[in-house]
Amino acid sequence: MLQLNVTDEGSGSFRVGLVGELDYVTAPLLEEQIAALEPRRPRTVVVDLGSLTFLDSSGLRALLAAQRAAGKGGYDLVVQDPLPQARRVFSLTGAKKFLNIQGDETDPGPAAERAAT
Amino acid sequence: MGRTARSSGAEPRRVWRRPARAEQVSDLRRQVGEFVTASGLLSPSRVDDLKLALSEALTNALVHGYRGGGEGELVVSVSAEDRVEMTIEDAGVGMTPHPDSPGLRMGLALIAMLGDSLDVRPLHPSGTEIRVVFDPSG
Repeated sequence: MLQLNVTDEGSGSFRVGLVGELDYVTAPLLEEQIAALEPRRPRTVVVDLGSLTFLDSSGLRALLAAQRAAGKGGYDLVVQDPLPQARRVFSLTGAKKFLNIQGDETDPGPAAERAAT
Repeated sequence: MGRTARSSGAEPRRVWRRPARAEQVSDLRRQVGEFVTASGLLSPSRVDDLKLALSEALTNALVHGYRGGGEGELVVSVSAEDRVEMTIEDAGVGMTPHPDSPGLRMGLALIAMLGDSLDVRPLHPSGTEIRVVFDPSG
């Protein structure tokens, strides 16, 4: 399941905090939320993934759609603080090239895990 | 020969049978993840990989196999002895492409990257079986 917490941080900046899982079932909620912000003419939308515990390719598609919407709408979209599972999806799919990802870049995938043992 | 990470008495194999509905996917991820974690065969990040592979396979089954709706079943089988073998079966129409896919049309490619081996085969009279193997971590 997914909970979205939207905060108006002033000066056209909005934070959309995702809590839970972004997948086939919940991805439309993010797309709807991004669309709902557009009439408020955002300058920056921060999608906070610090509490997102699961992401799959359906969820990734929603993030990429949000990125596309930001490009069309002339505002910045920032993907902030993804946890290692989401970072692994970004890395495996090459999506990190298309998203503005901010936060700790430590990516403890299996290779790093093996190297550490 | 075999690893003995699983605590004695724990079952080495389990099967989940669920109606082919999207709301089942999250619960299956959680239950399969807990089962595999208990085996002790995979590191936490590899369990995450397995859950991602499962999510992609189940989404494929729902979106491609059962895209016309109707009654159907998702069957997930996991054995965790020397390695983890996960099989996802549906009885849908097969994995033909269709333009309304909600993903990035890369579900199978992702599963192939996540697992140590992958087999996909059609079932008769209808359906698809995806089998993905995860070797023990470390």
